[in-house]
Amino acid sequence: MNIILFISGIADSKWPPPTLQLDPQAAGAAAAAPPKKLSPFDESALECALKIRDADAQTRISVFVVGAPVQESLLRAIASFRLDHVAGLTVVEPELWDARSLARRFGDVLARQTETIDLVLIGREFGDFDDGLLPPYLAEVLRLPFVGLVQEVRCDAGEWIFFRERGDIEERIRVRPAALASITNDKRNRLRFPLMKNIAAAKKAAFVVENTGPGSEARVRLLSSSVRTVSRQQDGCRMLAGSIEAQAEELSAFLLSRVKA
Amino acid sequence: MESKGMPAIHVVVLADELDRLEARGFVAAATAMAVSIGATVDALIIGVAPGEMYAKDAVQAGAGRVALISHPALMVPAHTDQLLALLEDVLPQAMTPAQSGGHVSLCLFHADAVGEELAARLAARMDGTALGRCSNIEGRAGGLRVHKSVFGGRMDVALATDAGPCFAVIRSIKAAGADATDDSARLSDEAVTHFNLDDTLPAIGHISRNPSQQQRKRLEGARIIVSGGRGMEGPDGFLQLQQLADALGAALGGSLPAVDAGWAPVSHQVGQSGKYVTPELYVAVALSGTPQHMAGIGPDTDIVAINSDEGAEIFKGAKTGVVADWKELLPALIRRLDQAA
Amino acid sequence: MNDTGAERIDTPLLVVGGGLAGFSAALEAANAGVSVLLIEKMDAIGGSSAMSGGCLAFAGTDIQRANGVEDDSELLFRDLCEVGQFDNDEALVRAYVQNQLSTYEWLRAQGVIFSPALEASAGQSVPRVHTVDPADMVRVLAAKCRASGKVTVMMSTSAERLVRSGEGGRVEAVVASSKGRPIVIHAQCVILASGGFGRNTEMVHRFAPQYDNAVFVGGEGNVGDGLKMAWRLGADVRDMAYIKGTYGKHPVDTTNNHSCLAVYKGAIAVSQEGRRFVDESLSYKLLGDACMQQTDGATYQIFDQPIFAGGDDRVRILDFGRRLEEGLMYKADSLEALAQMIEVPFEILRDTIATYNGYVDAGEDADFGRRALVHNHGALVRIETAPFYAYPSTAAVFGTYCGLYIDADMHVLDVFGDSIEGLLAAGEIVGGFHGGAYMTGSSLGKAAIFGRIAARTAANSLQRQSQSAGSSA
Ligand SMILES: Cc1cc2nc3c(=O)[nH]c(=O)nc-3n(C[C@H](O)[C@H](O)[C@H](O)COP(=O)(O)OP(=O)(O)OC[C@H]3O[C@@H](n4cnc5c(N)ncnc54)[C@H](O)[C@@H]3O)c2cc1C
Ligand SMILES: Cc1cc2nc3c(=O)[nH]c(=O)nc-3n(C[C@H](O)[C@H](O)[C@H](O)COP(=O)(O)OP(=O)(O)OC[C@H]3O[C@@H](n4cnc5c(N)ncnc54)[C@H](O)[C@@H]3O)c2cc1C
Repeated sequence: MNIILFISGIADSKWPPPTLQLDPQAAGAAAAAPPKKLSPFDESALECALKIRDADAQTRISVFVVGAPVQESLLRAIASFRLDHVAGLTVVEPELWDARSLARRFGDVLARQTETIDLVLIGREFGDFDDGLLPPYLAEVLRLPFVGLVQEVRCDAGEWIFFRERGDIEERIRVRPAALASITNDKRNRLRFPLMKNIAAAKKAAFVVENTGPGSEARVRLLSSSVRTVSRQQDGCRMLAGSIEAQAEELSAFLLSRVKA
Repeated sequence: MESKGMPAIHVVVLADELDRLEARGFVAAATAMAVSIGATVDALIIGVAPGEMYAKDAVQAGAGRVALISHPALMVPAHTDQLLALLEDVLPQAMTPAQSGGHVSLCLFHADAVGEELAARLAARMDGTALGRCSNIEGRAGGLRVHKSVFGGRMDVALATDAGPCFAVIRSIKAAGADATDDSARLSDEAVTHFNLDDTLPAIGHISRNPSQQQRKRLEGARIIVSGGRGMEGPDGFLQLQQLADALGAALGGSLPAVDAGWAPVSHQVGQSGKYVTPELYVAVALSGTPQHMAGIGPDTDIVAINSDEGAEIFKGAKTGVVADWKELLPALIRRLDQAA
Repeated sequence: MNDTGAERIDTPLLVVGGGLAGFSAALEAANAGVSVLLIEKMDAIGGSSAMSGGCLAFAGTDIQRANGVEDDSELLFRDLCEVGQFDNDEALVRAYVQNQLSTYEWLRAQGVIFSPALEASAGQSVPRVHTVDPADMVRVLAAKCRASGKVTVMMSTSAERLVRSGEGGRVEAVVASSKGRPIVIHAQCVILASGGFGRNTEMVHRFAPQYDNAVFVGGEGNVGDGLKMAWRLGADVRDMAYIKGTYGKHPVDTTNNHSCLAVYKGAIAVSQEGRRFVDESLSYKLLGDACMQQTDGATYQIFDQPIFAGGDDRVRILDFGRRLEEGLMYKADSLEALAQMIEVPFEILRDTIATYNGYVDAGEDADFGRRALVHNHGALVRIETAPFYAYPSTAAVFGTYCGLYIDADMHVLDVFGDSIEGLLAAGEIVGGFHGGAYMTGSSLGKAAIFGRIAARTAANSLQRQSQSAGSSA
């Protein structure tokens, strides 16, 4: 089976978010970008692919790392899972705002693949700007059946089985290849650690980074941005003091008053 | 309708996915945006057999016209391929430039997994623009200006587009007089159109569904939510949280690391990538209060925070705080609540 | 204010550093009636001590007796010298041994809680690892200091220079920076307890370039400030050639700082090629050296179910169950599946284990001479019962365990062997005690024991100073 992943990474939240470029023509801002790391959903998608490979060593995994620009450290981090192909895909920042233009870029890239594609995996949210709309958009562009918020993927008799929970219902969806699934975080797909020998190999690897340019096809543009300082404002927090017993006493009285209210 | 020349935005209400209160709040939120765009609201209410009440609610929440669409073969919970086929029959005609009065046309879905998927896939099928989850949408010289947050809730941005059709997802607001809909009020025939469909619906692959072992109280609509984070350290900690939740009649949620660890189910994750919840009270235990988590808690919710680190961010967003180790506090608390019961 | 514009503070005793050594010294001095100022560079107390494994080496304790373990100061002395390859200073080892049991009792009396579990680890002929919650231990001592009313703690205050009264004179002040403000602290006595320099890559490289690729873990403030300040006054150093990583650190994970030592329960260590490379019963410092010689500095500890079951989740370096749960450990139903997971050639691994099992039966390891599980303790066991486990392991530099030349009273000596008046040191900043390798628990032990000795030396000296001041007045 041939699996393709798209990964974008997210800005490491230990750093303040980067300055965004209002004018796509202006250069320079990208240099100050904080380092990127894999998002929880990038990790889950990658682990799903690795699990499929554990079960069938013939599985091929190719990853496209997308960025404006693509960070090499991210390429290396991903390559250290001994994948068949890891390549960068540079897009221009405005396209990150627009699922349509990104999906079409990805479609162009896949159209040029010579091997058949059996499965496309992607995290449920793509990078720092997407709210979960890119994966289904991409499925339509690629004309693939879409299964969202998948927690586990298995291959059975040449077909994919996708597992997911919706409220109190467990779903098992059987689809013939090819398909596109967006992956959400779950105990079953917590990303493993890479092996040292593969980290060492990835340190030496060279990567092809493809530029999708020139020009932007984005239909959405950025008007303004502001960093949020406080996520919630409130008039200060009433702290319950005293011993554990005193705290428990006061808290239980408070909670009971709210239950009855 | 006399709103001649006034463009209409479309709002898709999935009656089998949202309860009445959520649906009303959703239409109310859409109406508020329609006003700033200078448009009216056309509500499409879809379900196996959506009750007339949904239509009345929608009108009261500000919809100008309502299409009440029923199809007995729809699956519950929703199967997106079915809904997509159904909507693809209706929306393209409704969202032509002519229908939109020369404005960029806009269709809104509720901000949840199904809404996001439908918005994106319809956008793709109509070569439209997918705007994502928007906190506000305004008109702007024939186009739209939308507001949303990025970088895990750490930055707010305004975006512009002039190219439709546009698709976005939005959250419900607390509709004024939420339960005041006069159920006996009559709806004008003009406002509501009924469509009873029964054509065959497509489906990808083969779906099998099983109720999961454990039935849990839903986060949606819960008055009180008890929620745990990474500091709970294991399934045993979550058992104690469940006891606390039971004592309070509350639903149980968790942060992303708690879900990752398998202590809480995926559908009970609160935050940017989980559920958006608006209970009256949110009891956050051993949760640090990152922007990604706080993004899932409504602004009107009172937060009670229990954390052993007095410097934890969560206290900044909380109304009531206890600096304590949950391993000591929870047993003492649960004992008292059980005694009071 | 003095002429440099820096604020002046006066104290009888200044302690630099708020780790286990610093707080042990401060509390011991306070209990002797001395007023103490303790300064800590970071905005939190604890240093490496708080993040450590919390293992302390004591001999002859009630916990050992309750576990039927016979141990005493003499055996401890012998073990310490032996593990140090007899290249440690006997006087310092004696100082440790003579004060260890009373320090164990003292820690307990302060409210430090020891786990009832006992384990044998690096360099120990008998189980002698006594375990505490390390962050809690430091907090308890700090709280006792506060309660004594004799100790003032200044956070975010970093010592920068020692000031002597003229060439070769007494140390009489410390120039420091407190939340960015310059201050000068005048003290009759200064105890340096500022820890090692494991977080100063450049400085480590100068003494131990073979560890350039190792993992470095330790208190953020531990960059060698105290060492440099004393150097400037001509202080001598020891053990610098013995900086060593500790074997058993997961090479990639950053959430679990602690080494895992399945080897001491019977695991073997193999290279990525699947071959053994060392006598696994050696001190984990020596294992660290051997590990860094392997490809990528990366190896695996390989073991089976009975060895896994011998772990103990209460002891940080043996908490196999917890690590499996954290996804750090590999587990497979067959050796072949395990080899596939860790991408080690199966045939070689299989042969390595078969050969080793043969040695276990024969009672002799013809390759590396392993005779015990750890040091002289424990009989070797075969690795044969599925499921099989692998723990990826490299060496981590947890501390530098070398540094200032001190005498048994903790006086800092200069390169000519003369004492630098008014300057004492304790904890990881001092050299000469460990020598060639290291016994588990002896570093925290050293911090508490030497910290207290330094305080007593300081208290005596202060008393003499005040007497002579009294008589000359
Ligand atoms: C793209 C993306 C999407 C994300 N989406 C979400 C999301 O939807 N929801 C979400 O929650 N996160 C989300 N995250 C993850 C988020 O960034 C944080 O990692 C997460 O919210 C932290 O969870 P936590 O508060 O449980 O854990 P931590 O931040 O580790 O906090 C644990 C807290 O427990 C306290 N504690 C520890 N022990 C005790 C004790 N004994 N008693 C009392 N208190 C104790 C500690 O003081 C600490 O404050 C997302 C991240 C990314 C990158
Ligand atoms: C992960 C880990 C596990 C370990 N496990 C064990 C174990 O199980 N058993 C054992 O015996 N040993 C262990 N060790 C080693 C042991 O923790 C240390 O050797 C010991 O704690 C040193 O104590 P200390 O008080 O000398 O130094 P620290 O505890 O490091 O304290 C030094 C303090 O001085 C401060 N400081 C530094 N410079 C200045 C300055 N200029 N001005 C003011 N303050 C300054 C630092 O910020 C720090 O707080 C471990 C170490 C690590 C990192």
